[in-house]
Amino acid sequence: MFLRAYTYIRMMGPDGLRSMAENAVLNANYLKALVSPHFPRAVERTCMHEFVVHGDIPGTDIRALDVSKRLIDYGHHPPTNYFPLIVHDALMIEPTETESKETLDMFADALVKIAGEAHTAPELLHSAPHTAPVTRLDETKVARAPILCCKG
Amino acid sequence: MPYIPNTDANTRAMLEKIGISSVEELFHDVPAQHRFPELKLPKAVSEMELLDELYALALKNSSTGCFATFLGAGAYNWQAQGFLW
Repeated sequence: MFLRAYTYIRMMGPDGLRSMAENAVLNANYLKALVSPHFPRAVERTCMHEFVVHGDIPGTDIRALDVSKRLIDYGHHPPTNYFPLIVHDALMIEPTETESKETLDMFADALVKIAGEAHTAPELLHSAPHTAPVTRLDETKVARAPILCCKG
Repeated sequence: MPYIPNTDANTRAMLEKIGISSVEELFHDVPAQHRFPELKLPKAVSEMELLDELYALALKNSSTGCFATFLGAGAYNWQAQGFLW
Protein backbone atom coordinates (compact mmCIF):
# COMPACT_ATOMS: atom_id res chain seq x y z
CA MET A 1 0.00 0.00 0.00
CA PHE A 2 2.82 2.44 0.84
CA LEU A 3 4.50 1.56 -2.45
CA ARG A 4 1.30 2.22 -4.38
CA ALA A 5 0.81 5.61 -2.71
CA TYR A 6 4.49 6.51 -3.21
CA THR A 7 4.34 5.54 -6.90
CA TYR A 8 1.21 7.61 -7.44
CA ILE A 9 2.65 10.69 -5.72
CA ARG A 10 5.97 10.44 -7.62
CA MET A 11 4.24 10.07 -10.99
CA MET A 12 1.77 12.88 -10.36
CA GLY A 13 4.27 15.34 -8.89
CA PRO A 14 3.09 18.52 -7.12
CA ASP A 15 1.32 19.91 -10.22
CA GLY A 16 -0.41 16.61 -10.96
CA LEU A 17 -1.65 16.28 -7.38
CA ARG A 18 -3.16 19.75 -7.51
CA SER A 19 -4.77 18.98 -10.86
CA MET A 20 -6.12 15.70 -9.46
CA ALA A 21 -7.72 17.49 -6.50
CA GLU A 22 -9.14 20.23 -8.72
CA ASN A 23 -10.66 17.75 -11.15
CA ALA A 24 -12.15 15.62 -8.37
CA VAL A 25 -13.87 18.72 -6.96
CA LEU A 26 -14.84 19.97 -10.43
CA ASN A 27 -16.40 16.61 -11.36
CA ALA A 28 -18.36 16.44 -8.11
CA ASN A 29 -19.70 20.00 -8.45
CA TYR A 30 -20.58 19.45 -12.11
CA LEU A 31 -22.48 16.27 -11.34
CA LYS A 32 -24.20 18.02 -8.43
CA ALA A 33 -25.35 20.79 -10.80
CA LEU A 34 -26.81 18.18 -13.18
CA VAL A 35 -28.50 16.08 -10.51
CA SER A 36 -29.76 18.54 -7.90
CA PRO A 37 -32.76 19.88 -9.89
CA HIS A 38 -34.18 16.34 -9.59
CA PHE A 39 -32.79 15.21 -6.23
CA PRO A 40 -32.66 17.91 -3.52
CA ARG A 41 -29.25 18.56 -2.03
CA ALA A 42 -28.67 17.84 1.65
CA VAL A 43 -26.46 20.94 1.98
CA GLU A 44 -26.62 24.16 -0.03
CA ARG A 45 -22.98 24.97 -0.63
CA THR A 46 -20.05 24.14 -2.87
CA CYS A 47 -18.98 20.55 -2.29
CA MET A 48 -15.54 19.04 -2.25
CA HIS A 49 -14.99 15.64 -3.94
CA GLU A 50 -18.42 14.24 -3.02
CA PHE A 51 -21.94 15.45 -2.35
CA VAL A 52 -25.11 14.15 -0.72
CA VAL A 53 -28.66 14.35 -2.08
CA HIS A 54 -31.99 13.05 -0.81
CA GLY A 55 -32.96 9.96 -2.79
CA ASP A 56 -36.65 9.88 -1.84
CA ILE A 57 -38.71 11.50 -4.54
CA PRO A 58 -41.41 13.91 -3.32
CA GLY A 59 -44.97 12.91 -4.18
CA THR A 60 -44.03 9.23 -4.61
CA ASP A 61 -43.20 6.30 -2.33
CA ILE A 62 -39.78 5.90 -3.97
CA ARG A 63 -36.86 5.65 -1.55
CA ALA A 64 -33.13 6.06 -2.10
CA LEU A 65 -32.64 2.29 -2.27
CA ASP A 66 -35.09 2.05 -5.20
CA VAL A 67 -33.11 4.71 -7.07
CA SER A 68 -29.82 2.89 -6.41
CA LYS A 69 -31.19 -0.47 -7.52
CA ARG A 70 -32.63 1.05 -10.71
CA LEU A 71 -29.21 2.57 -11.54
CA ILE A 72 -27.92 -1.00 -11.93
CA ASP A 73 -30.38 -1.48 -14.81
CA TYR A 74 -28.84 1.55 -16.51
CA GLY A 75 -25.37 0.03 -16.15
CA HIS A 76 -24.07 2.24 -13.36
CA HIS A 77 -22.67 1.25 -10.02
CA PRO A 78 -24.98 2.77 -7.39
CA PRO A 79 -23.60 5.44 -5.05
CA THR A 80 -23.24 5.04 -1.30
CA ASN A 81 -26.75 4.50 0.05
CA TYR A 82 -28.17 5.69 3.40
CA PHE A 83 -24.88 7.25 4.50
CA PRO A 84 -24.30 9.63 6.19
CA LEU A 85 -26.95 8.51 8.66
CA ILE A 86 -27.88 12.06 9.65
CA VAL A 87 -29.32 12.70 6.16
CA HIS A 88 -32.59 10.90 5.46
CA ASP A 89 -32.52 8.82 2.29
CA ALA A 90 -28.95 9.84 1.59
CA LEU A 91 -27.28 9.15 -1.72
CA MET A 92 -23.61 10.06 -1.40
CA ILE A 93 -22.10 10.55 -4.83
CA GLU A 94 -18.34 10.65 -5.31
CA PRO A 95 -17.39 10.65 -8.99
CA THR A 96 -13.56 11.07 -8.57
CA GLU A 97 -11.20 12.76 -11.03
CA THR A 98 -10.80 9.67 -13.22
CA GLU A 99 -14.30 9.86 -14.72
CA SER A 100 -14.83 11.84 -17.91
CA LYS A 101 -17.49 14.47 -18.54
CA GLU A 102 -19.17 12.00 -20.93
CA THR A 103 -19.47 9.40 -18.16
CA LEU A 104 -20.81 11.97 -15.70
CA ASP A 105 -23.38 13.07 -18.31
CA MET A 106 -24.50 9.46 -18.81
CA PHE A 107 -24.78 8.89 -15.06
CA ALA A 108 -26.79 12.10 -14.58
CA ASP A 109 -29.05 11.20 -17.53
CA ALA A 110 -29.83 7.87 -15.88
CA LEU A 111 -30.68 9.59 -12.58
CA VAL A 112 -32.93 12.11 -14.34
CA LYS A 113 -34.73 9.27 -16.16
CA ILE A 114 -35.18 7.43 -12.87
CA ALA A 115 -36.65 10.57 -11.26
CA GLY A 116 -39.19 10.61 -14.11
CA GLU A 117 -39.95 6.91 -13.80
CA ALA A 118 -40.69 7.44 -10.09
CA HIS A 119 -43.86 9.19 -11.26
CA THR A 120 -44.67 7.33 -14.46
CA ALA A 121 -43.65 3.74 -13.65
CA PRO A 122 -42.82 3.41 -9.94
CA GLU A 123 -43.13 -0.41 -10.05
CA LEU A 124 -40.03 -0.45 -12.29
CA LEU A 125 -38.06 1.07 -9.43
CA HIS A 126 -39.61 -1.05 -6.66
CA SER A 127 -38.70 -4.28 -8.46
CA ALA A 128 -35.27 -3.18 -9.77
CA PRO A 129 -32.73 -4.40 -10.65
CA HIS A 130 -34.04 -6.37 -13.61
CA THR A 131 -30.78 -6.97 -15.45
CA ALA A 132 -28.66 -8.34 -12.57
CA PRO A 133 -28.35 -12.11 -11.90
CA VAL A 134 -30.03 -11.60 -8.51
CA THR A 135 -32.53 -8.96 -7.50
CA ARG A 136 -33.23 -7.59 -4.00
CA LEU A 137 -31.20 -9.41 -1.40
CA ASP A 138 -32.01 -9.73 2.27
CA GLU A 139 -29.26 -7.27 3.19
CA THR A 140 -29.24 -8.18 6.88
CA LYS A 141 -29.03 -11.90 6.22
CA VAL A 142 -26.28 -11.62 3.57
CA ALA A 143 -24.11 -9.84 6.14
CA ARG A 144 -24.97 -12.17 9.07
CA ALA A 145 -25.19 -15.55 7.34
CA PRO A 146 -23.27 -15.29 4.06
CA ILE A 147 -23.15 -18.34 1.78
CA LEU A 148 -19.60 -18.33 0.44
CA CYS A 149 -19.56 -21.67 -1.41
CA CYS A 150 -21.28 -22.47 -4.69
CA LYS A 151 -22.85 -25.90 -5.06
CA GLY A 152 -23.47 -27.06 -8.66
CA MET B 1 0.80 10.79 -16.24
CA PRO B 2 -2.32 12.41 -14.79
CA TYR B 3 -5.05 9.72 -15.14
CA ILE B 4 -7.47 12.63 -15.73
CA PRO B 5 -9.67 12.53 -18.85
CA ASN B 6 -11.09 16.09 -18.69
CA THR B 7 -9.92 18.36 -21.52
CA ASP B 8 -9.77 22.16 -21.30
CA ALA B 9 -12.99 22.32 -23.35
CA ASN B 10 -14.66 19.89 -20.90
CA THR B 11 -13.53 22.04 -17.98
CA ARG B 12 -14.97 25.21 -19.53
CA ALA B 13 -18.31 23.51 -20.23
CA MET B 14 -18.48 22.09 -16.71
CA LEU B 15 -17.64 25.44 -15.06
CA GLU B 16 -20.37 27.07 -17.14
CA LYS B 17 -22.92 24.49 -15.98
CA ILE B 18 -21.88 25.03 -12.34
CA GLY B 19 -22.19 28.77 -12.90
CA ILE B 20 -18.65 29.88 -12.04
CA SER B 21 -15.74 31.07 -14.15
CA SER B 22 -12.70 29.32 -12.65
CA VAL B 23 -11.76 26.12 -10.84
CA GLU B 24 -10.23 28.24 -8.04
CA GLU B 25 -13.72 29.44 -7.09
CA LEU B 26 -14.64 25.88 -6.08
CA PHE B 27 -12.29 26.21 -3.11
CA HIS B 28 -13.61 29.46 -1.63
CA ASP B 29 -14.82 27.61 1.50
CA VAL B 30 -11.20 26.77 2.38
CA PRO B 31 -9.53 29.55 4.43
CA ALA B 32 -7.37 31.60 2.03
CA GLN B 33 -4.06 30.87 3.77
CA HIS B 34 -4.61 27.11 3.41
CA ARG B 35 -6.18 27.14 -0.02
CA PHE B 36 -3.39 26.29 -2.45
CA PRO B 37 -0.41 25.08 -0.41
CA GLU B 38 2.92 24.69 -2.15
CA LEU B 39 3.66 20.97 -2.10
CA LYS B 40 7.33 20.41 -1.34
CA LEU B 41 7.61 17.35 -3.55
CA PRO B 42 9.96 16.42 -6.38
CA LYS B 43 8.69 16.99 -9.92
CA ALA B 44 6.73 14.22 -11.60
CA VAL B 45 8.75 11.42 -13.22
CA SER B 46 7.90 9.01 -16.02
CA GLU B 47 6.94 5.39 -15.43
CA MET B 48 10.36 4.15 -16.66
CA GLU B 49 12.31 6.59 -14.50
CA LEU B 50 10.28 5.58 -11.48
CA LEU B 51 10.73 1.86 -12.19
CA ASP B 52 14.53 2.37 -12.21
CA GLU B 53 14.28 4.20 -8.91
CA LEU B 54 12.09 1.53 -7.32
CA TYR B 55 14.31 -1.34 -8.55
CA ALA B 56 17.33 0.42 -7.03
CA LEU B 57 15.44 0.79 -3.75
CA ALA B 58 14.36 -2.86 -3.84
CA LEU B 59 18.00 -3.94 -4.17
CA LYS B 60 18.64 -2.55 -0.69
CA ASN B 61 16.52 -5.38 0.66
CA SER B 62 18.14 -8.62 1.76
CA SER B 63 16.63 -12.07 1.64
CA THR B 64 17.59 -15.58 2.69
CA GLY B 65 18.65 -16.06 -0.94
CA CYS B 66 21.59 -13.66 -0.46
CA PHE B 67 23.06 -14.96 2.85
CA ALA B 68 23.74 -18.13 4.79
CA THR B 69 20.80 -18.68 7.13
CA PHE B 70 20.52 -20.60 10.36
CA LEU B 71 16.77 -20.16 10.80
CA GLY B 72 14.86 -23.24 11.91
CA ALA B 73 11.28 -24.36 12.33
CA GLY B 74 10.54 -24.33 8.63
CA ALA B 75 11.81 -20.76 8.07
CA TYR B 76 15.04 -21.92 6.36
CA ASN B 77 15.49 -22.04 2.57
CA TRP B 78 13.54 -24.86 1.11
CA GLN B 79 11.79 -25.71 -2.10
CA ALA B 80 8.71 -27.81 -2.77
CA GLN B 81 9.19 -29.64 -6.07
CA GLY B 82 6.39 -29.34 -8.60
CA PHE B 83 5.67 -33.10 -8.65
CA LEU B 84 4.58 -32.88 -5.01
CA TRP B 85 1.69 -30.65 -5.96
